[in-house]
Amino acid sequence: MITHHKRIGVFYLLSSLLFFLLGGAEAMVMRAQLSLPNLKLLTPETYNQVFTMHGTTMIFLVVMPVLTGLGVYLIPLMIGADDTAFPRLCAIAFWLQVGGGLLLYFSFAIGNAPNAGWFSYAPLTENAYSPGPGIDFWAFSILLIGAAIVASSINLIVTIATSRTSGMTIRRLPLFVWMHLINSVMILFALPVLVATLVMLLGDRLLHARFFDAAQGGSPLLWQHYFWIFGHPEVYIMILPGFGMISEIIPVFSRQPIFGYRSMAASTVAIGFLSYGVWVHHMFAVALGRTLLSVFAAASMLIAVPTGVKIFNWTATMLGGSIRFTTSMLFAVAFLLEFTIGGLSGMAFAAVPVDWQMTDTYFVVAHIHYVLFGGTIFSIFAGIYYWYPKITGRLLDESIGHWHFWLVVVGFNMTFFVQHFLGLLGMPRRVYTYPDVPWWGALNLISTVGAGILTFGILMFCANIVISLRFGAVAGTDPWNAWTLEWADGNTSVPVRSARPLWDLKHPEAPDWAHEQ
Amino acid sequence: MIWPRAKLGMAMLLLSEGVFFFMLLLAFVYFRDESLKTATATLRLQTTSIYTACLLGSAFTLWRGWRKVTIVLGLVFALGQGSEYVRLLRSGVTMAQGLFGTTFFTLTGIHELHLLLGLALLAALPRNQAAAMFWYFVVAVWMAVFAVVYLWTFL
Repeated sequence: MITHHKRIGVFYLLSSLLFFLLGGAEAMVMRAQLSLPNLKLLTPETYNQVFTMHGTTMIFLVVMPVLTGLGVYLIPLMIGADDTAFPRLCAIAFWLQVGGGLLLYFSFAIGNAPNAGWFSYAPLTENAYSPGPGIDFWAFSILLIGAAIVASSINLIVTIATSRTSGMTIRRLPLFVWMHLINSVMILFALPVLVATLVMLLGDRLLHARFFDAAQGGSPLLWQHYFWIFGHPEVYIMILPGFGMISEIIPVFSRQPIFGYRSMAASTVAIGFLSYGVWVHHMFAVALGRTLLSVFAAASMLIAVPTGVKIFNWTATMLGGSIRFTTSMLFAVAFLLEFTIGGLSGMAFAAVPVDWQMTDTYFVVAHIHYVLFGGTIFSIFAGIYYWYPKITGRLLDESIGHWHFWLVVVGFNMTFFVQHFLGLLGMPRRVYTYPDVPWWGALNLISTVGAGILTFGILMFCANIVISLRFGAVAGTDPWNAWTLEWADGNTSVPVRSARPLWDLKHPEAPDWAHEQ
Repeated sequence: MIWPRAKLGMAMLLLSEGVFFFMLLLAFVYFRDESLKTATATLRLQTTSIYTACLLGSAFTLWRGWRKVTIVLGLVFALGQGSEYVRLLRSGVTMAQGLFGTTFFTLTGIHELHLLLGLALLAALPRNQAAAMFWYFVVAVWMAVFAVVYLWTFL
């Protein structure tokens, strides 16, 4: 059985890429259907299945596993360990994850894919409204994936706690490792909430329990509370490792140490805590009383503070540095801009009256894609360009990389920026077609053309991965002149006396540890 | 102080299991008003107290290192729980019958599955510290369940 963390890490990356292409194809099908008013390429039922599969795929089969894969691959190298603490657990987590993905897609084969959206609100998911097995496939596959994610988080926590090389104290951990550590702890508290919720849903559907069935005394509201108690921390779980990658990449390409290492780690802890106290902002449209809404609105706005600290730290790291605009750095800088836009539209939603006006419109779709695509996926692209030479020994091609970058930036903003206006103009999300209201048709067409450009960008990325594997420039062990241990190429004798051990090795005249403390 | 890996890993697993049970317990409390009438009419505080004492005793015997006694006490509890289920189902209290059945069987059923897994672990890994941690967790969760589902109902 293959258990080595490098192999499993690559498995994660490849399976995520496959599901990314599937989820992207589903997105293109939706954009084609929405390109013109009154178009009826898909039936409403198929459209519901496609958007549910798109959301579930991108969250549980792309973003979560690709971040896990990068963590599994890089963390042991960064802390100077031979392998993860529990190699067999590492492997079983991956295969559970893939099994969950295959189970989800098997629902297409039997002609009944889940159709209640990625957060599957009750009572829509109850037997009375979803009699087919689609929702059962959805719940069982996410149960498997949830177990996989918890397993890999336990493995990463124990690895970071017990497998560090000598000198690698908690204050010298690379920020990528810090963010993954906090992320894994968050997963331990968030994912079991989802698992409990799914168990209750399956009880309702298969054993005729009554948790969420209002007609029999149950409470659909309970589903909303439980789902978002998981769901909001999940939002941060999907971005924190991205923050970690950006915190490694921006310093190396700015030739300056990270600004505010400690505030970076501390603000991540703050985000971790706050993320458990904001879930009701997904439910402002439910009549929960003014006091409760005000408390959750304030808490949601508060979370912008530690996030803002990070944005300023990254900007300050670049300030006065000698910046190299490799494709990786381009994606990192674009991440700062796109994620800030997503953060600002998030702040808008924290204000209750704005939320009431905008909830369930395309403004939400724009917001979630600015944080998850403009944020997480951009950081993943930055990370892949940065660590591809570590994984394969060859650099990704920079000119294809620039095409990839510009096509994605133009396509992404064209697709999703206009959706803010669609939301303001009142277009609800999750409708399969729409009447010819002024501006709706034009804005939707722009969005669809943008999605086409974005698709070309993604294909460039895939081509780059394949072409560079064969023809890319040979990278050597340390192509970026970087500072963290994964670039020491297995040289375990590098002493760790600061957060930048390779800097100390290369610059004995001005080592970091000389001015530690 | 660094724990051995197996114990640290088990502690992390139990942390997430704890959150899982907390949410199921919370669901029971959420529907408590609706299910209280059925609960008072059908649950037997005295009988369950005896089985609970056995389970609590099993934590003590495990702490003293008497694993076989622990397994026997665990089996007694599992059988007690089984007879309780049979009695409830015969009197018409099922998952589908109402909110009490729904929340009670989900919570205690999932706990029972953990208990059986814990017994298997104790039997299969007689000297394993992590398996012992799992058993303490099973006992601790039952204490919370007993307090909320039984004691609070009859207070």
